[in-house]
Amino acid sequence: MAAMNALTSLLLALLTLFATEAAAQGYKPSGSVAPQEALVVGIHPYTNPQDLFEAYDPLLRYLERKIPGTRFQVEASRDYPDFEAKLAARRFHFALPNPAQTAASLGHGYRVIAKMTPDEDFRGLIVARADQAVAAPKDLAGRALCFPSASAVAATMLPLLYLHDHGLDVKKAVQIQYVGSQFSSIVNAHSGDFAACGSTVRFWRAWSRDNPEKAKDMKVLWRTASLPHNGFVARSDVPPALARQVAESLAGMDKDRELDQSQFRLDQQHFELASDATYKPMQEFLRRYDQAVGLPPPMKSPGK
Amino acid sequence: MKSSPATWFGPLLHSIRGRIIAGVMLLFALLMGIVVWDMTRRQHDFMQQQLARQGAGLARTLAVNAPSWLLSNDVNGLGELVGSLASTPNLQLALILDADGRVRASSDETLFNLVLNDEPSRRLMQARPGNRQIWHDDMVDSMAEIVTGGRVIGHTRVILTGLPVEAELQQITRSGIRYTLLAIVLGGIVAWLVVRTMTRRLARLSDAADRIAAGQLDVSIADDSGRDEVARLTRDFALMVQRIATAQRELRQQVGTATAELRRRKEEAEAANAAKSRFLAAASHDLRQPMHALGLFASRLSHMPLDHEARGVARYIESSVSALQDLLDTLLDISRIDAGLVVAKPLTFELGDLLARLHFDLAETAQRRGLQLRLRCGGALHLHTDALLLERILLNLLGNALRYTQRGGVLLACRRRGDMARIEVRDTGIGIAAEAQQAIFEEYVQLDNPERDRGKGLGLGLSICQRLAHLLGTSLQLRSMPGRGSVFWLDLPLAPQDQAAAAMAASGDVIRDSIGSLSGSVLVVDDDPLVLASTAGLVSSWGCRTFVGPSVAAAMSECDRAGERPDVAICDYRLRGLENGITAAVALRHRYGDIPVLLVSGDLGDKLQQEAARHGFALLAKPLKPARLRSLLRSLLAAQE
Repeated sequence: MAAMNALTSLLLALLTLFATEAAAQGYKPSGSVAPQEALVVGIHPYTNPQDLFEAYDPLLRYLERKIPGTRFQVEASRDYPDFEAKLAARRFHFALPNPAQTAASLGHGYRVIAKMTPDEDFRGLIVARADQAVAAPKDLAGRALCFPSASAVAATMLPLLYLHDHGLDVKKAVQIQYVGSQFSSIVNAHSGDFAACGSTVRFWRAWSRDNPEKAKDMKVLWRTASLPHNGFVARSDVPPALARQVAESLAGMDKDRELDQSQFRLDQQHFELASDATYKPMQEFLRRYDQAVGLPPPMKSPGK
Repeated sequence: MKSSPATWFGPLLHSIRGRIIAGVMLLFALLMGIVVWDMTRRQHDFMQQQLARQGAGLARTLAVNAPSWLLSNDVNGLGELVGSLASTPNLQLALILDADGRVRASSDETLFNLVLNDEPSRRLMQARPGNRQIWHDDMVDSMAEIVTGGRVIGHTRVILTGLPVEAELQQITRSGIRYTLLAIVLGGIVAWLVVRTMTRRLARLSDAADRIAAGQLDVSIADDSGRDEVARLTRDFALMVQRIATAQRELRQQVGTATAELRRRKEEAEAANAAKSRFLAAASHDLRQPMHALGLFASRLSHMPLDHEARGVARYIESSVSALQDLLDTLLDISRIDAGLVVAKPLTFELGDLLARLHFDLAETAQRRGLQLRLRCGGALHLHTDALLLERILLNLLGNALRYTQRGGVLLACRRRGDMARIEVRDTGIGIAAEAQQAIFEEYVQLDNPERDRGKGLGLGLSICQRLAHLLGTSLQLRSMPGRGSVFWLDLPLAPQDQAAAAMAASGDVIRDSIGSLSGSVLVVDDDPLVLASTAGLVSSWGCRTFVGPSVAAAMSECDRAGERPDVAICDYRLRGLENGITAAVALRHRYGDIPVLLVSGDLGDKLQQEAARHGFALLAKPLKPARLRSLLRSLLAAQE
């Protein structure tokens, strides 16, 4: 047997002579560190990253065409806290935070250069199935309500302040559950698991358009007052000229006939020029909300 | 000690069994080798394909799961994604790259944030999208696009090492080789078992063939009732042996018949030969006996006191008798040679003695012809040959030389040439033309005798000389030019040193003679009154006292009456009654002691020569030349003194 093994090894050695020679010790790629060339645009994560990318990638490509030599890159975030942490860490060159985050970004070295329009759309809706017996906010007492997230201004904070202002103790009288996204909130209400849900004009419209049959089962119970729409901020180190070009491009986008407006299914192409002052009402709203309902922890300023 | 492969395999391939076993093993080796090679190759291809599919699948899986994390630039999330592949077998490296090619997550953290630009990375990036996979360094390198909304937002890259696959392939190949070797060995064993039964039967046939080759045709070949080729061969072989045996029996019968016929013919031939021998013996005796007496009478007559006319007649008679004796000797000699009765009997002797004797015998003849016969011998040379045959050759050559030389002389010479002795007879005669030098050795050819003078012989002399020379194992050579004489010579081997020394010790100075009378008493026995009278008269004429008789008793009575003891005896071999020369000579020695005896016979057969030699008697041929007889008597009588 030993002889056979020896002979086998000899033959094998001959057969694999070249193979063993070619066997590498292991491969490891090599490269070099390259600076990031793209301008990062952070979008507040009101939906999942893929949807967010699909929604805003056309907008960024438009900016690149309008401002030759620039390249923009969408960056999503896992959730609002993650987005707000990146905002605080000045990760983004530009960002599209919600109004509350816009107001907060001013404290992180950003400045408002534009905002979405119309503000009419930036109001909260309280939506419920049509077969729900709800005539006044107090009828929701003891019921379960769902919202996208605690820091969603239009879909959560405006509806909760509305209910509070109309006599419902949102801290004790109702069970509030945050379901993660705008569309999840509507779907949960449609399924009947919740008596009502918080939404916005924009998302309710989009959902109704995409789900017309289901939309017939639903009804908008109440509409809140409006606030300044989502702001578009630029980091303080972005060259002012570039910031101005970006702001002007955004402001003219929904009027650009050469642009296919139909690709913006969430009406995210409507912008106007804005400044830090535009968001003073938002700061007042946050103060009131904090008193009435209580700001969620991430939105509380360190001083409070 | 090294041995070449040919030497090593040689014995194996020299047998059918070995060849078949080697062939089967070779076949197994070939087939199994092909199977193992093909199996290994297929396995190699399959495993490489598997590895490639695994790499591509992992890259795609990673790409499907990466968009959210990549879009969020969540390197932790991406790292967790890459980390989920850590336990994947054969994983060398997993990477997630952003749209700019920067590494956003890697199983090797040192690569983070690098833009890869090594050769495999470039090749991979340049490959066609959807089919980005390359092999390098025994690894499969797969890349997949991370797509969201129809846009490529990055890439995943998974590198799987093929070394474990190669190791597994080596294990498979090793197993294949083991099975191949096992198959070869088993094949060889099975072939050996199968072939053994066949070769055992062939070996039996081979043994039978060996015994038949040794002449043993009665071998029994076991019946093989099989139906294969060996069985057929066995049956055919048995049939062949049977037929050979039959053929051999028939052949033996034919050979026996032919042998008997040959034996009968041989006996007839031997009988004819014996008859011829008897005839020649009888002819020799019956012709030579009267010729012998005639010669002796003629010689005696020439020595008698005659008047001038009578002396002339006596000389003519002597000359005619001599010629007649020569003719008779020649004819009988050539007949005996042709009949194979003359056989060379080599003895060691001193050549100078023989040549001196010849010179002495012929000196008188040469003198009478006004020629000078000279003898020149370079030292003592001992030959080992038949002295009698050599003497006859030289006698013939000297006779011719003296006969055909008008003036000048004849030289008898000898000299050493290496381990040979050259004996020459040189004359200053008429010479022989080149075109005739071959013909003179033929029978009945005479160049200078157109009138056919029988006194010059029959033209057989040189022919006899050449035949005798051949009996001595040599050849008679000739060099001659017309008008400048001739040289005949022959080369004979010298005796070895020890034989020559013995011959020198034994030989005496036997050739002595001189002109003048002899003294002594000679006893002569011959039943032929004519021969008896002629011999007695001749010997008496030389001065000897003679005591003669037709029998030994009568001759001894003569001696007794005279009160003498004979010094020498001359006895004819053929005597009347139960007596012959040998018995007569023995009786004489019994009576007178060790006296010399000369036996005279017309037929010197082998038997007689052996018998004479055994008793130490000198044997002389008839017809006896008077000069020869006188010479012998002189030497014998001198020895007695």
